[in-house]
Amino acid sequence: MLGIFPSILLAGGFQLNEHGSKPMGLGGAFTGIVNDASAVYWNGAGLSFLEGTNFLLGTAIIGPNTSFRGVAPEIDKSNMVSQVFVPPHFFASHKISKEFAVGLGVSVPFGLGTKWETDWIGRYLAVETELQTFSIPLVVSYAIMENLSISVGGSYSFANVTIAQANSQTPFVGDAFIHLEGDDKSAFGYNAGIMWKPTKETSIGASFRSEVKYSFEGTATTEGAEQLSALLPSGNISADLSTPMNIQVGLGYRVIEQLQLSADFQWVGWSSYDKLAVDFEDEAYDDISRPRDYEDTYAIRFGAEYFLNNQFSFLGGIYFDKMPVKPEYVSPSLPDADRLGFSIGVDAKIFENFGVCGSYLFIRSSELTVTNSREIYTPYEEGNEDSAPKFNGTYNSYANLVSLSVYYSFNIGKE
Amino acid sequence: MRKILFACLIFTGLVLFFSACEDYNDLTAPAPIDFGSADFSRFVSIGNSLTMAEQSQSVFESSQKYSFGKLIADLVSTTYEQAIFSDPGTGDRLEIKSLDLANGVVEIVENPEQGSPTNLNYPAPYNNLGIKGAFLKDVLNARDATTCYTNNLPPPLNIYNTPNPLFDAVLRGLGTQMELAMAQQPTLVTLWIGNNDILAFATRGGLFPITDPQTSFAPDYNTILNNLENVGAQVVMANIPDVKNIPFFKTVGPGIGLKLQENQIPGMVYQTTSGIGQATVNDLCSLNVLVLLTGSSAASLIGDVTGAYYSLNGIPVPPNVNTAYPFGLAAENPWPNNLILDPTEMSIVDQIVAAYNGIINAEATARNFAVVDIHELLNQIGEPGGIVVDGITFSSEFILGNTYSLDGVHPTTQGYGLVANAFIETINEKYGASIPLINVASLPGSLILEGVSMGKYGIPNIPHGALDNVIF
Repeated sequence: MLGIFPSILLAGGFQLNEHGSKPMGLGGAFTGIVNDASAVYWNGAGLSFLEGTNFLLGTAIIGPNTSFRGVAPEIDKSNMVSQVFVPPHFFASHKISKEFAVGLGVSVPFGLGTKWETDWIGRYLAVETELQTFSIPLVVSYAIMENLSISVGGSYSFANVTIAQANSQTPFVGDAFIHLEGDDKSAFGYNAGIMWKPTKETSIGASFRSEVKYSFEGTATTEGAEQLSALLPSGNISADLSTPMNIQVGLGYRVIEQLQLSADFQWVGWSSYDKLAVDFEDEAYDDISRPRDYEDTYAIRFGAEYFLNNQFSFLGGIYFDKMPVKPEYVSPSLPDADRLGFSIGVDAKIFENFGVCGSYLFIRSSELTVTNSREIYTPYEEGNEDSAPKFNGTYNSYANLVSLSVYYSFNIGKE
Repeated sequence: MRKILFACLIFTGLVLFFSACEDYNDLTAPAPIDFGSADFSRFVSIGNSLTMAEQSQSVFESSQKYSFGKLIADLVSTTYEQAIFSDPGTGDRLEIKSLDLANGVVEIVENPEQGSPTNLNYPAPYNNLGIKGAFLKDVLNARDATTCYTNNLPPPLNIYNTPNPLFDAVLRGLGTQMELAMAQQPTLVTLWIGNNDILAFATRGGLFPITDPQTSFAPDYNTILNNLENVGAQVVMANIPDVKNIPFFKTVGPGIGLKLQENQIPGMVYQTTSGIGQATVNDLCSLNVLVLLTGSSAASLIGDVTGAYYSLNGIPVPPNVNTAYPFGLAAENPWPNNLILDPTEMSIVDQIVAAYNGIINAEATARNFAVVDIHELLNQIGEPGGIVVDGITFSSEFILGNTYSLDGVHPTTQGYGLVANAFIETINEKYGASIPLINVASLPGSLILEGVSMGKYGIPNIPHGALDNVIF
């Protein structure tokens, strides 16, 4: 009678590619260029081409917006609650010798969240969903030749997740509210990269970032009618979740002295995510297992940097990000869709060793109308899934992102 | 420096440009509903508590806004005013105080609070003329609390002991249900009446007069339909359900059966109008006799030799009863007549219901009006396993069956959704309309949690007297 029907936890939309203002300004087409300390994230092999010691500190400010219209055939509109996310980034690199360079960073590779009103039509599917991962990568780069380098690295990650949703108390009056919270204080991943500059104008890079397996431990709490407290799930929970591996191949080409073009192909191994499962320690409560059936996906990215002079350059980028989830599994906890991103930015090297970079990215999701949803948005009993009403409707999403980084280098020109 | 400013300006401009991009394609609004030849422009309901949306023994706003008439009116976007009573409504609302489903224990209490009418000053007759406690003849005759049928019966049959105030609240001195319906020049009327004319007999264990099908029911029903036909209204009638499908009659008996079986007692002994009856464990469990929900608290006293049933409830011990014998197990101390519907009474109920429904069907056929077969709907729900609609299983199980509220008689909000859908299906068929059905799963749960002890054996613990006034 009572059960929790939580929904998706993360998706393509939870991968963040905003690690540094410059990569963001270039639409994320950066793997083949990596000419600042954010190479620690994008492609560690690029560190061999950075001289001296470099620091880069900044943050992105992300404002996502989503509306849902439905449930079909109705077209009533519900808007997601506005939220702003501020994932920071910090990278440092140091060239040890002619061959070796090391780099360290802090960034948020997966994150974001969605929040809907507690009385909205999809409240039994999602009210609040939030995931934050922090990753601290450490990378060593080795220059095999003057124009060819490779890198390997490891990363330590920690994460926390919150899922809250309403739960119908049918046939009893009112809704209960379920809150799941968990964290994993240590998860590990690894990465590798390669960078080759065959000509003065051309650079080619590739990088690999591994899957990271998180084992969340946490608690479930439920606010509901006192009389139903024995039925409402609570207590310790555990959940496993893997963030997908990424393979990214990029190309940079200096068309003329003032103009550098770049392109990236990013492959994301989302097929690792086939179900969302939450286990309750207390056997009185049914464990949750919901099929997600994600598919591997990709993004294609293009960027351009125009150097006005030694101090200023302008950035522009565009990308297409293919949704990893089939429409029937799309849930309001993560309203995924194919996305187009348009970015612009300015890089200002104010002093010889200090600069500021700012960029803006607008992400527009293609309108997604789901007609064969498998998400059930009303209370139902096990076995009655076929006749239960499904969450069909139309999602529209867009996001505004602003990123600001400062960078500082020293020992410039020492060699 | 100028260049920096220039760059900032362009940047700001572009940010604003993209931020404004909140466009999307227009979605096609759902096609307007095809009403066929049905005309909802002046929509009126005549009925009893089922039309008024009584639940858990009270009529209250959070139920009334999902009355079957209101659900239909909202679907077809027509005016539908009702006599609304703020929560907890007209009084004695049953609420769940505690619930232990693992052990099958539920405790139900009556809410002592009352709500108040919120729109007594509505300047026209209500569209929903349903009145809790209305009998068929009340539609034509009752003008107020004092002229309703039950107020003019001799004690103890005058059900409310006081005049039924809901006649005043709905009619407001403006006329009878019939007159107020006619005054609205209705285009479409739902008519679901006559339930009380037999169920008052059934819910009181056979101790209540029955409206005679031929001499009373048929002529009154005929008059009502003549009047409605004369004003040109389309009339959609609903028939009378089988009492055996209602938790009020199905819950306690099987519980007592289990209890007796566990204690190796072959059966119980009960008082009938003409003498003493006996029910075996099998009779109780197979519903060959129907122990009423009003007997739930007495069920725990079966076998008692202290006369507790009478002393606890302040009931004088009847002259033929010797309380030194085990309560409900001996002919000297039988289970009270008003708490059981014996096989003779059950067959009377069956015959009367069949006669009423025969009259309703014949009238409908003669006038080309539609009949909603609620009788069949509740039969299906009463089958083992019930029916599944929109993911929810509806059965006649008390509390967990999703269909019936805590009084065991009136539907839940989702149950009223099923009733509304039955009306819509009939209207669609009769008038060539294609009104979409209501998604009943999207209607809220409505069993109020406050404060039933569903004792062991699945017998709820309802305070003695709590359901004495149960009536449609």
